[in-house]
Amino acid sequence: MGIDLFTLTAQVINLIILLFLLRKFLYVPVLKAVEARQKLIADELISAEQARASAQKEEAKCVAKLREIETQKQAVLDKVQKEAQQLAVKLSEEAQVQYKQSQQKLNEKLKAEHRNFDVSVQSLVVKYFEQFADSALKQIADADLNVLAVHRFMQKLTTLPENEKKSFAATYRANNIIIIKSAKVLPDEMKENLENVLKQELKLKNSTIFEYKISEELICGLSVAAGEQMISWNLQSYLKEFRNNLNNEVVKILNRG
Amino acid sequence: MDAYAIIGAASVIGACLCMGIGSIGSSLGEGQAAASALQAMAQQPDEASRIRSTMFVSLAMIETTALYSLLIAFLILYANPFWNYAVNQ
Amino acid sequence: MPQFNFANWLDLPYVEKNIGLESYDAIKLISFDGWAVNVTIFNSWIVMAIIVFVSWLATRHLSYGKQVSKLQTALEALVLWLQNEANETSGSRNNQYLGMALGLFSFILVANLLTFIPWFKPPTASLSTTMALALVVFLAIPYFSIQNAGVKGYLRKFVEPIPLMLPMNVFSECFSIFAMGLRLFGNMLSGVMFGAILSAFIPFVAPLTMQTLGLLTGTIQAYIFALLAVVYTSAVKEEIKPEI
Repeated sequence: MGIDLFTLTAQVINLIILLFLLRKFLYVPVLKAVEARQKLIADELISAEQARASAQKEEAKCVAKLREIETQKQAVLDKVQKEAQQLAVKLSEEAQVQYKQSQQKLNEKLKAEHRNFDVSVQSLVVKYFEQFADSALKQIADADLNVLAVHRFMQKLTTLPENEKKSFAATYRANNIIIIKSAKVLPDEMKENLENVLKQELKLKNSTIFEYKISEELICGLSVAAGEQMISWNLQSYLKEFRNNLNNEVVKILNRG
Repeated sequence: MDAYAIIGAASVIGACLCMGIGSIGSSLGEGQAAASALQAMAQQPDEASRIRSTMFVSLAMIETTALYSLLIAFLILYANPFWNYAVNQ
Repeated sequence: MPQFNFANWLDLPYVEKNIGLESYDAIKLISFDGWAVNVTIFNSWIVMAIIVFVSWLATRHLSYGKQVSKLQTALEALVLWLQNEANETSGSRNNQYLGMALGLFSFILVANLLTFIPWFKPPTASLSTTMALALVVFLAIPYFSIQNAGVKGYLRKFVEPIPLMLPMNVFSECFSIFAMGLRLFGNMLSGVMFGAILSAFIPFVAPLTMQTLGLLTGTIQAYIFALLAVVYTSAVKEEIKPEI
């Protein structure tokens, strides 16, 4: 045991050499490598962080886009729904209108048919009454009744108002002819009697020509015409009046119903 | 008794005493350190590895005192200067 | 002419020739005109060669990327661990003490671990080597102290807290370094001696246990030596005056 100075010195030198060699070979390059790797890792971390940030940004963008699309979709849906509702309302309105129109048309048609029916009923009623009256009167009317009718005519002529007489006289003067229509052939004395009464009442000239005509339509009685003007007492006119009144009454009843 | 016998006997007895007495303190200290370290490890299992390495280092440091006495014992037994002096006389 | 005597390298320590404690320095391998390369120096060279070779192997194709060889990873772990330890212990940030700590640690570690080879006489089991290591630390103290605090700061340490303590401080410094060398020597010597004595009694298996324990002790000693070196060399720092 003891310290060998030569060995001591040699070992000190050895150790110092070792320190230099280690500096050259071990820790300086190793530390450099470690530092480089740490820097690399830090850079990668930063780039990864950036990538993540950009990815997040992208994701946010995507989400925003998605939301926008969603809102657009919603808007389109709303619009379509509204349009559909409007269309439905419009269609129902149109349908209602059409329905009303068709109903109205139907009503009108029904009314028209009703009216036609009324009219036909009325005309039939009137026609049958007329026929009945006509045929009844024709059977009743005979010579005696005819004479009676002439007498009635003459009575009427005498009670005729003055202004009618005057207008009749005026039309007579223009034509100078009087047409006497009768249902049956009048006897000669009746004719003469009638002529006299006419001349007297209407202040006719003696040269007046009396023309006699037979008209079955009159049924009974007679009519005296000068041009357009006409004085008459016959069943036909009564019948006409009756028919008109009947017609009016039937129409009134039908309308009421 | 000649000088060799006295020096030899004294060397052996001295070496034994040196080793025996010298190791008492360090062994007690090492035991204390190990006990404290174990307690610390039990209380803080998370820090166990750090405590263990520190414990080894301190054990080695404490052991140094025993090693000094060991060195002295070696010195007395194998490189006793008095022995060499007696031989050279 | 140099005389080669390498057969001595193969002597088993302390067993066959039963020589004294200072034997390692006395076993001469190459004799040259009164100078001799003894087994301590030669084995130191082997240790250094191994360290440098491994370092060179690892840093030959240094990888700066992510694909790292296993050896480089191991050495990186070692360097980073020591860097962390040294920086934490010294409180410095610039890897000032890393080189010294790494050199001492690797040298002592490899030398101690090679005791597992039966014929290898570890250079750290020689007082000359351990004292040489301590001397390097002793020289490193003023180097780092002056670098950190200047000559004045370094010298002020010896007269603190009072100038009367000057001899005590000097003695304490010298002895702490001396104790450091002695501790390493004692550990290694005891390990080798125990191994030798045990193998003299029971040649097989039994020495293995002590040698295995010796590996642990050797590793711890290497760590302690490097750590204490950092502690002693970083004791003097630039004084940070408190701001009032």
